[in-house]
Amino acid sequence: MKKLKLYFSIFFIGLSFLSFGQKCNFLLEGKLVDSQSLEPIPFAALLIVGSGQGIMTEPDGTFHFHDRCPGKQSIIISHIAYYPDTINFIINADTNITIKLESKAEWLKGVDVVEDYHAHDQRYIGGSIEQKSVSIQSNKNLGDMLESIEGVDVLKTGTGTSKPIIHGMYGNRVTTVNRGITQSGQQWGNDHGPEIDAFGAQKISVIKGAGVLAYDGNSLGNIIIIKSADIATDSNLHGEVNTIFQSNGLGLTLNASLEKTSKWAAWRLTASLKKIGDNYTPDYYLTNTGKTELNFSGQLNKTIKNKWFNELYFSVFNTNIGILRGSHIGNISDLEEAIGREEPFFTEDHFSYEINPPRQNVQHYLAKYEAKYFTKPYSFFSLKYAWQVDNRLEYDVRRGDRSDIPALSLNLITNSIDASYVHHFHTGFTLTNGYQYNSLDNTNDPETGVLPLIPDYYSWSNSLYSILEKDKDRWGFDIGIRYNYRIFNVATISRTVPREVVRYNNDYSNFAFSGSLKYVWSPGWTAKFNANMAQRSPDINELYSNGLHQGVAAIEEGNPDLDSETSFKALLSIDGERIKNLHFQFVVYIQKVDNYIFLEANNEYRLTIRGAYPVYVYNQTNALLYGNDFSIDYLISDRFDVEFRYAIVRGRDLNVNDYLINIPPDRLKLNFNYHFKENKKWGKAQIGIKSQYTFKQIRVNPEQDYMAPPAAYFLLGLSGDVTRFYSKSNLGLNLRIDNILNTSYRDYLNRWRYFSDDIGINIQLGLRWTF
Amino acid sequence: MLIDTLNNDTVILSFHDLDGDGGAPPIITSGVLSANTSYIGLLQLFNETVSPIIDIGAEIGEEAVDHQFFYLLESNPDATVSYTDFDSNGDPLGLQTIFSSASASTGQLTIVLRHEPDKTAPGVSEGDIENAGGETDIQVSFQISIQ
Repeated sequence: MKKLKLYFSIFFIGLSFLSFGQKCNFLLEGKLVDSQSLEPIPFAALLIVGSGQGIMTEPDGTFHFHDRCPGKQSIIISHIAYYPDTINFIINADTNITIKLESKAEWLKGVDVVEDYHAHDQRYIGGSIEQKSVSIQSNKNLGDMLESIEGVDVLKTGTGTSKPIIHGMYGNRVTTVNRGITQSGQQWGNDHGPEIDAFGAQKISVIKGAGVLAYDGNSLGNIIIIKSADIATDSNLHGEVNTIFQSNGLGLTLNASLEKTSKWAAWRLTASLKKIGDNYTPDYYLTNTGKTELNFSGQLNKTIKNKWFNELYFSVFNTNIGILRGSHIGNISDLEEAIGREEPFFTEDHFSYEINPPRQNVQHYLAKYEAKYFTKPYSFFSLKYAWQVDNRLEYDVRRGDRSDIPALSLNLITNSIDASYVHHFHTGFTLTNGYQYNSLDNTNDPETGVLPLIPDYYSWSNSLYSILEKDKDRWGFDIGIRYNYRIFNVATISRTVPREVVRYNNDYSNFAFSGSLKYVWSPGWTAKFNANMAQRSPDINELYSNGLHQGVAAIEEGNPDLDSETSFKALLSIDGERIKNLHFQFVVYIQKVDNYIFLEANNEYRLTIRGAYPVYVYNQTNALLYGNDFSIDYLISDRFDVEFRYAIVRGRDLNVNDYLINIPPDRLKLNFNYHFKENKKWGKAQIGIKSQYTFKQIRVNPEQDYMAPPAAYFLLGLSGDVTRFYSKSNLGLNLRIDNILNTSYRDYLNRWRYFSDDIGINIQLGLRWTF
Repeated sequence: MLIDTLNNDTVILSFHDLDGDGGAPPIITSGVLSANTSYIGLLQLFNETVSPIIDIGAEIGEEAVDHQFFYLLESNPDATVSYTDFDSNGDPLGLQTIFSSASASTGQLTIVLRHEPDKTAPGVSEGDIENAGGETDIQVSFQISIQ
């Protein structure tokens, strides 16, 4: 109830924000009722989009909006116990309507609320993309989808894999939580994308750097959360069929989902298929850059006596990714030669779907059981058990028949248990206490005949956390602590002959503290402040990797003596909702990381039979990162808006007073959107122009990289979207054209910048049927 | 291995690195060649880290089309190298060569094995690595002295 009160005040104050002069004197009134019982719903918040007019329903469920202008009305309805809804209609006289709202199951209504506390709550600073965007972009990698969120960049290896960068942090420093479970994959390599199919997610959120103590993993606070959509609660069969064609790579993506709530349980099945061939730049094909993906998932929800919520979920992710043939190099002189070339070696003059070595084949399996038992509304026990297997095979171009034998074959098995109790006090405080256990078992398959880059190891981790939070009126705050103890038990193979197994043990104690504060100081104006301290133990690659990193022709060596990183981060965000005709968000942040782990060139060249390789060793320094994300949307009219985004990140190595590498260059985005009128048959029609200017990364020293950062570039895109409403289904058609000017460019954060241009024009046509 | 059949003289240049990418440096032996002599060059490659030892040279011979050795003479040794073995397309391979020394001099011989080079690119079949492409599987250098 306390949370409700917060809405009260926001929307009540909203009343003082009336619409501007026009001949607007119609009365719009009606009643809000429960869709099943037809009982009135009191104290629900109603907001008319585009007007700032917001009210609460009366105790009898009625509502009255005065002084409405004629034309389209769009009302957002929210109530804590009901699914939020938006309804659209047109008025040209005084109007009386009845709105039915679908209830969340009585006891379960706390689930979302409490999950929101930890993840999607407005107290945290971040951004998200919604289900529809996930579907219509499902031909892309997860990382690429997130790029539309301010402050998120992507570290790419060509088109095949991409890793999100949040405020300059990526890889081991970002945790991904997929359907409630911390993703456990081979995230130690920069060319390893998260092994996740996001299709079917209701929302993907990015939390920028503070306060996510309830999630296991080893991040410095940056988290990506993929949340399953709720299964529709009525008794009809629902589903979605989604297909996307893309011109670049002649790719086809197919997704399908089916779901139903029957008497005994609710279930959902999804499947995704992707087949994409060689991409092309404006001037040549990128030979061997095809990709296939085949994924399945199933979900079963059963609620017993409205108190005991059970979920079983499994997913299978399977991908085969071609790696640009011309990026496969033997030694440092090959790399230097490749950098100087107009087009990559091995470039074929024709298109192909074939995927030959070098390639990656990755399978990820997840099975989870999750239970929540409510002791009273908003208070519950939660238990999650998850089993994950990540099987990564990397094939190189090898002599003889060995190209069919992987050069890297790793199998990582993860078991995790997460138990917590969320207690909601009458005073409005919510206290969450939790325990997490996690075990990793990584095994190399000796079939490779190659000394492993990452050793066999076991790792255990135990964590305890406690978070106290409260939202009251204009204020919201949380404060929390987390302790984590992690052990590594590693079996490396000596690099000297005769080969022998050398065992190591490492253990780390990590603390994290976090606090957030939110304050709504006037209608539409919200300030949020997060501060946290977090520690991250070094990961296996930083401790014990040993061998040749093919893509950059360097020998990389782990350092078993590394300590945990300690990070201090503070973020401040000022949000404006509908201030005049503006929405905006301004985020500034600063993060200091002591013992920041990085790969350092140790100025040694090691002579091997393939020539001399530079040797890099993991080392620690103190780093400082800071920057801002700025976004502003200007609503010129109800139909036409302009979005402006500007993000900058700066990174410094404080010990040597130099730049950090792989820091995103500055980016400016300017988008124009036009929304068409809706009617009963056609709706949500819009067209947009997207433009993006990426500056040259000038904050790198020549000696930090093999080649100077690529030049600045400008990309233009178009998008269009329309939905046809049928009585029980919707058919959506969407078109996206990326790089419409077919500009040749290279991106500083694409690891193939040494070898090839980025991809040219890509026309994507999607059809989405939901029922 | 360079064999002077006329004088029954053999010069062996060798590169041993049993720990692979590991920290122990390879053992390189260089040789002294006689001036104005033609040697038959025989290149042998073994993977000695496994048992039984694998003859990599034989594997390369079987995949001659996809491989070519380049013999780069650097720092002015007065000598020439020419191919005497060819793949099924008639392009050079380089497991067998003729190494002809001229006047007394010193310099460096670098042997490079390229996997999947473009043997049809200009100069490649004459032993010029410039346009060969492909990726480097082997690159070793020997100091040579012609006396």
